[in-house]
Amino acid sequence: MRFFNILNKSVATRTTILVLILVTVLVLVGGMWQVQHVRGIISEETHRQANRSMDGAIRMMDNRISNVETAVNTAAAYADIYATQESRASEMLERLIAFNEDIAAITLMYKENYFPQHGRYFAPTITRDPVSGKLEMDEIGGPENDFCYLETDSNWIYTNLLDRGYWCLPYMDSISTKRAMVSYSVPLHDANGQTYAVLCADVDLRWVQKIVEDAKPYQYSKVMVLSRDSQYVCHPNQEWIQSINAICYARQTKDSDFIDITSRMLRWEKGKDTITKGFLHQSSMVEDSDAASVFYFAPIERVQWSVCFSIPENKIMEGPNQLRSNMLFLLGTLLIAIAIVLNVVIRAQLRPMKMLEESAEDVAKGNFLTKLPEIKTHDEIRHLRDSFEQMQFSLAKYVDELKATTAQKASIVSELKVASDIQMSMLPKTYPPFPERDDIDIFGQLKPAKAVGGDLFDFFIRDEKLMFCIGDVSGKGVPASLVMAVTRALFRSISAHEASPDRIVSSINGAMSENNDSSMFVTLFVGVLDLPTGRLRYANAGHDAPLIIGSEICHLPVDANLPVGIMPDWKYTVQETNIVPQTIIFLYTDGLTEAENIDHNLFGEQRILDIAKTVQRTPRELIDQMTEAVHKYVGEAEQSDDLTMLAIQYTKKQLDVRFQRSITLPNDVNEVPRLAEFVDSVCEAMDFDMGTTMKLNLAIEEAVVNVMNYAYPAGTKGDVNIEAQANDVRLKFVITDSGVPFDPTAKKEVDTTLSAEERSIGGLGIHLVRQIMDSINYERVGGTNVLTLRKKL
Amino acid sequence: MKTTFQKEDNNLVMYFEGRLDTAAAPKTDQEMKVLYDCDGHDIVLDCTKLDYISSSGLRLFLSLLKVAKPKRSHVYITGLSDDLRQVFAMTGFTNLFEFK
Repeated sequence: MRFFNILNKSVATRTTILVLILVTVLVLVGGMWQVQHVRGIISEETHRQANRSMDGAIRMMDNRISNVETAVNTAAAYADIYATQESRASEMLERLIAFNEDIAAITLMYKENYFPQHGRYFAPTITRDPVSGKLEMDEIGGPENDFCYLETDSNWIYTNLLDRGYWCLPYMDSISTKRAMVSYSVPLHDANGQTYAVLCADVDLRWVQKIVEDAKPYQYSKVMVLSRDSQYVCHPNQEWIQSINAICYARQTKDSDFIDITSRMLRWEKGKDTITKGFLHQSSMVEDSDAASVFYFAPIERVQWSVCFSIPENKIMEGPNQLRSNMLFLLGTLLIAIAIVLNVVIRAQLRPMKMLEESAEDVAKGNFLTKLPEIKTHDEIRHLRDSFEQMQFSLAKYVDELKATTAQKASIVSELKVASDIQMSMLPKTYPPFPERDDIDIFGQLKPAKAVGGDLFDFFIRDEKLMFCIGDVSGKGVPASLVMAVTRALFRSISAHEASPDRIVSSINGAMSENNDSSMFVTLFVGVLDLPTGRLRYANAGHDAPLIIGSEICHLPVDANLPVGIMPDWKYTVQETNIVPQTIIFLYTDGLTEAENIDHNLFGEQRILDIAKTVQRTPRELIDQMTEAVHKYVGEAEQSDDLTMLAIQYTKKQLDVRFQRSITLPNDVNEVPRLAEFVDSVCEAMDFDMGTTMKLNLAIEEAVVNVMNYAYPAGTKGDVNIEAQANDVRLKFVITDSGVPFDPTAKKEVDTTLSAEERSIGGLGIHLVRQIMDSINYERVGGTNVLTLRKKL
Repeated sequence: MKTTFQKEDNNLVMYFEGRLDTAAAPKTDQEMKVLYDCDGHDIVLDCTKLDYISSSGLRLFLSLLKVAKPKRSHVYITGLSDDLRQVFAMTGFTNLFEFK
């Protein structure tokens, strides 16, 4: 694995190694093939040469031997001229041996008692001294030399037996020197055809050794000659000549190859064999016992010998082996050279890459404007560099774009933050919102899901009525927040002069449906709680019913009206109920009921009810506990919707009435003086000063005259009842009439800053009432208008 | 409510006495009509003895002013008690009239 790591790290190394492998494989394969080819050629050539040598040697030997044979045969043909006479026999012999160098000794063996004077056996012989070459006469017949005649394998016997020329087996000449000899004898026939003598020529076999030595095909070949009786005629190991029986010895060694070759030679076969070392060692035919050798053998038929050459294979293949070694050496050198050259060249070629790499690292650090190195060639490296440069420019451009986009996003985020702040500031923020009042306690909270949200709630007190609303714009985020702002503004502006919830909702609906291009709608709940009486009038536009938490906990029954902003002329219904002191009205949006945890399970109505049951104290505590419960429930999950809650607790304490007086007047402005009297008497009872009394007079007159003029249409008669009531903290005047519904508080405020020309005549009355009294409150109860003016004491 | 009309120097002066409430307003309205003819004259409304004025009364004063102004007649109010001054202030009438 480490090897592969090295390969992977360098182009030069990898390429070099690949090339080396390729070259090695090619050269080895090609080389091997060629070497094999050459071996084949050499082998064949050797084979041919060996055969030729073999043939040559055999021919030569055969020639020499046949020379002797011919000479003796020829002499035998003429022998009867000489051999029959005792004196002339040696002359013949002399001439014969003198003219034939190869004949070492010549003997004429007469049959027994042919020349009786010479004894039984007469065998003149002439011997050539091997050293001096001198011829010596001798006679080897006689009783002490009768071995020639008597030995079973002697020439005499065999020649007589065969009655023709006969080459005997080689033998060692033990008489004088130890020489290997072979004899040829031929029978001499007399006139009757009877054999009377045997002419026998001895041949020194040392020349055989020389011939075969000369005839060997290669210097390193070894030669042996095996005779018919399994004796070595010549052998590289001189001691084995004529001393061991080849086949017996072979059998002794139990070497199958040895036995095989020896047998075949003895059978006078011609052939060749490749033999491994076992035999060779045994046969003493080779020096290096590890190498195989090829053996060529063929017979010399005349004398029944077999000649054998051995050629060591490694000598034969010396050439090709050398060639192989040379080639391997050359290959090695070549590989080293390639390795070095390739490495150097490739590294040099890749140097621009190194420069490019350094520049690239610089760019990666953030220096997009780094100049890439100049590359003079127009090759792949140059292309890479150019591509890289393009990438560099693109990168710089993208980074700039990204910076711009991020800055934009950051500014959007900060704008959203500002928008969120604006939206939050639209909601009532200070709690408790009416610390000076003792009849109401309110707490509200809004947590948007995103920076800005679509939930809204609002409340304010006008004319002793708490106007409140809660709503949920369809959707979330910036679009919903814009609609939320519009809805709230509408609520404020409309309920400034309209106290009837259904009319408030209808007006909002009308205004929103008009310009509703985005088809967004708002679920809305509008309530008007009359603080003196606890009377709650409300209109619901598709919103969740609020919880009324008092001695019992239940949902406020709500009509199913359409949400606002869908149908411009939907008729919204108004509903009414009475709120008992200490009751909490709990309003919320579906962000509470549909708060999701990670398993996508909803918080649900039941949990709200359960918590509401356990908390029975202040609005703030209720909402805090609800918030905590939701947070625990939601856990890790993201807030899915805006979470809005508004809790209103009606805490009015009924105080004891200290003073009460009333008067009823017909609706005639001329009754005003009587009214003034009434007011004066009340003020006196209350111990007010002149200024206060006058002001009260003014306020009551204005209010009553208003009622007289507008509650009863012109011409109708009706009564107006004025009741004055005081408790510990305030004095109130309740003006009731049974005229048409008339709400003086619904009139627009007078602008007292206009100039005389711009001022309108009307509207002063109510303005004065508001200025003088602490609060003005209108209710329609049954068929009567009830207008209450209050003054704190 | 009792009104008295006099011409003093070049001014048309009206004295108010009593309560100028809604019941008295119609009659007073009639009596003030004489002041509408004020070309070249300034008008003085003497409220020294005016005990009380309600919006109907204020309306009469405003109507007079609306007529007098185009005729370049000043309308002065004199002798207004502090309490009534407050009423004028509540309704912004202190900006409309000149007080002496």
